[in-house]
Amino acid sequence: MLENEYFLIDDIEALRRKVLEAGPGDQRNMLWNAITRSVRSSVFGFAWYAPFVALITREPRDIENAKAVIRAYVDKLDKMTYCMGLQFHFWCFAFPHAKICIYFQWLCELGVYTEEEKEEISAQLLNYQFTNFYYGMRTKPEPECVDNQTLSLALSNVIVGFLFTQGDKKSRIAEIMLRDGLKRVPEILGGFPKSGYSGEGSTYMDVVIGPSIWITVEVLERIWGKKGLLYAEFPPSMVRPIDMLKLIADSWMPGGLLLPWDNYGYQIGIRSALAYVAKKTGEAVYCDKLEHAVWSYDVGAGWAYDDLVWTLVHFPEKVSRDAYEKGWFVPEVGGVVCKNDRYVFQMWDDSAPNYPTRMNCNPNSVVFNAYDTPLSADGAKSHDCRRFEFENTWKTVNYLKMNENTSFNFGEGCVGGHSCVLIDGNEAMMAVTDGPQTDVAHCAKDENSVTGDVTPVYRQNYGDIELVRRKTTLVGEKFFVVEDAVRSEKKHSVTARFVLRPELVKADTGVRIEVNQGVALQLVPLNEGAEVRTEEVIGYPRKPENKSVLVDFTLPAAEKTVSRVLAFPARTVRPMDKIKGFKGIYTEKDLTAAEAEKLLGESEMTFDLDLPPYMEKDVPVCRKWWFKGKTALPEGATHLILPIGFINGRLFVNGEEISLQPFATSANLLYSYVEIPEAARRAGEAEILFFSEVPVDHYENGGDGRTGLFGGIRLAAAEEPETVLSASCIGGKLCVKTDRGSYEYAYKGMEDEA
Amino acid sequence: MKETIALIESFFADRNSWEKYVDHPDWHVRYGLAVAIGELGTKEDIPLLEKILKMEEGRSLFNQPGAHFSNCTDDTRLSEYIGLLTMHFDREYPEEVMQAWQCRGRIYQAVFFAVYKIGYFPESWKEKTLEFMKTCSDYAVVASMCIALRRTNDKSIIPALKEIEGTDFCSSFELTKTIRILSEA
Repeated sequence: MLENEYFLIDDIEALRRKVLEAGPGDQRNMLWNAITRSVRSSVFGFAWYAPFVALITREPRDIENAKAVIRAYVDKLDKMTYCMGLQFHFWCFAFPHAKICIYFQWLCELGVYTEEEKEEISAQLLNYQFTNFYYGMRTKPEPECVDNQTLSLALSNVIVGFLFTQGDKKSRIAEIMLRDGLKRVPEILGGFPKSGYSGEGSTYMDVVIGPSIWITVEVLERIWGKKGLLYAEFPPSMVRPIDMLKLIADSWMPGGLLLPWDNYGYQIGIRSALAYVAKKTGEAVYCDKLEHAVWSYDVGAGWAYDDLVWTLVHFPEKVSRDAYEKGWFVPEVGGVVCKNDRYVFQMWDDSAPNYPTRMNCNPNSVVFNAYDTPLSADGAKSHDCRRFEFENTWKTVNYLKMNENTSFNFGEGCVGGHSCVLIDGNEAMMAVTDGPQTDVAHCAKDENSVTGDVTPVYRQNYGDIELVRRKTTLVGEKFFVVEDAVRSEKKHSVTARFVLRPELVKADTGVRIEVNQGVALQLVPLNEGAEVRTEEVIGYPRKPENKSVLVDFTLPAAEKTVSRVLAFPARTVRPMDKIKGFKGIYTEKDLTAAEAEKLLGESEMTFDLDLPPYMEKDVPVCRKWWFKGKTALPEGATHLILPIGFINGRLFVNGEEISLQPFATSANLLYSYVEIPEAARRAGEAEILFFSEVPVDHYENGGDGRTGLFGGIRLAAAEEPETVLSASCIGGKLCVKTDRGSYEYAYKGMEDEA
Repeated sequence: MKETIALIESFFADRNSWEKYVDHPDWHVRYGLAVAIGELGTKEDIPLLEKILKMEEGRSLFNQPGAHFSNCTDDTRLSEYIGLLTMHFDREYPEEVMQAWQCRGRIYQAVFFAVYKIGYFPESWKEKTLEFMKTCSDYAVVASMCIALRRTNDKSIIPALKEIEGTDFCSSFELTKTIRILSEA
């Protein structure tokens, strides 16, 4: 066992000082308090924090907690061998196991075990690795298999192998695991494309690849005795770990959610990878995203629920707030144009031929976001949604349930489920061969545009297609133009489809949606004669609202088509000040509002609702919470913005209950904007009574975890959004008339290319 | 477990003990021994591997005892679960069924990787292995057999390999790769 150091910690005393001496207002202080309060209140609810807390405090109670966690983990290992998850998806168990081995090493180094205890636990940890993950690593074709699963397996063998080959008692088994793992890890890194993108979508890049890349760098640096591997090129692709981490940061949208770039839809991202690269580079791009992350406890992170721990370990000493270029462009993947609170992502990464599930068929799909708010919809449908179930997209598999075949339809992974071009209205199109799916892409910074050419994937389906190219431009830092050029030998109709978040609202021109978070998007066709069609789809995507609006602009069949759509975002509600200092109580039983108010009157506890109460203050980990606060309503205040992550919420304003049912699904990812009743607005003050459940451990929601409260309560003011009255694009001139004025821009279209 | 691991570690230091443990009742020991033979063994040790394989004959790779976990679902979400965890089975299962499920394919894999590492695939194993692969649905086992069969350098087995259907990426990939390697042999 490794001795005389704490694995992956460079300078333990410096880390202890950094953590323990951070004062109020310092984000590190907030993190440390959140971590220690959670685990001290509920050791097994937040078990993954326990070893770190012991390492920092050295207090007997924290050491006992950490030892209990390691003991509980070791005690489950034999049971796990009967678990289907371990037998069929061993890679999911590999990395958490390696993390536990790291934590065990820390505790050994702290000297909290007898020699006998140490030997017994070591034997169990080693055996589990050897029989499950050494075996598991060898099932993956070498060197060809390059994905998150193989990386998890190989890296776990390196970590566990390394830990148990150090010190006096060297394990021969560990040596073999280390040797074979160490051979594969660099191969796997170098097997990633040069772009750094694994091809698995934003969720996997961030939540699964993200937590492993920085550990890979740190582990290899220690074992090889080399520094600077973050920037080293790994053959054969010559990809650098920094490229992967940059792409992970790029997958964060303004507002803190991950791009809906795969069948998981919008997700909350992990923070440790950002913290690591922010510390290493000091660059503003990472510091900014880290600062604007959702800080509730770990949800959905791959490889153990300890993201907050490693975020704190790596939290940068200095946070750069320099201006930085928010747009990005990766030729093999996609590009972002982002200025003036307006953001669009256009993607052209390859999809999985014939079976586009995680790797959706979404060539040139666009995702809009404005004022930190997602406007597009994407992801997977709910189980009872029958839309996008095509005849040729049924699949029967035998690995979802033991001794049982399961049939499901993956139709939403086809082109119709995304903001793409449909040829002859064909929603069921997907890649059908292993051949190329894209041609050359480019970005033009001078005109704020990105262009993707996805002709090959359309040609796989329509042999006569000669060109399918999309250019998305942010014009005047004000609105977007999405332009599609399609050329073919035969005549085809061309539909520019947009999949948007609800709600569809009336528009005098084009189509308009307004999302609950106070942003509108108006789409106006710039081609005369475009047929406009809208459809509300319940059940797709599941998140955030279990609903979407399909907006189609179809041009008649032709051999050459240039379609243009104007997308004009505008704000409808503007956030104002945060309301702080809510009185709070927790309760085991259900209370009426009156009962809650009475108890709140006697409570001395106050909360800002920036985090679950047990992370914000030293209070027990309890599920049911009532909060009460009073605020003056300044001129114009029309809405209350409720925190992300409330569960079964109830809201009373001046005694009047406001249903939170419309936010039951979306609150898991987004703030909820609730209109303040007219009577309260007239009175000029609001007494707010708010109930929410909070998760009491990391394993809620069937083991997947669930977001806790985050972001506090704030006021907001409705404002009249700018609306488009007319728009045209003729002879290279783009004219947009709104209720505020007229805009005229030169616009270079793709007519020549079509 | 401490004693078991110590025993397995000893296989890497003392090859003289190998024969004694080829039919050890604990599958962990047999698995460890197969890995050790792969590391240190020679062509002369193939009979030991054969004896280890013999113990696997007739054992089902897919006969899962119905295990139920009280606090969490029986899937990957248990990977991160730490805490009180109780498990019960839907009925009583014989010890060999319990062990077969725990071990699932690991010994086959270790044996065939050992063959590959030693660099010699016994002629007498060929037919039986190819026959087994036709019906085996454990991809880890099929993949390891494919890899070991490369040591035959025998083009004549390619038609038989082509009849085998890979059930997943790994087994399909290794089948294709083995066919390619043998055809170039």
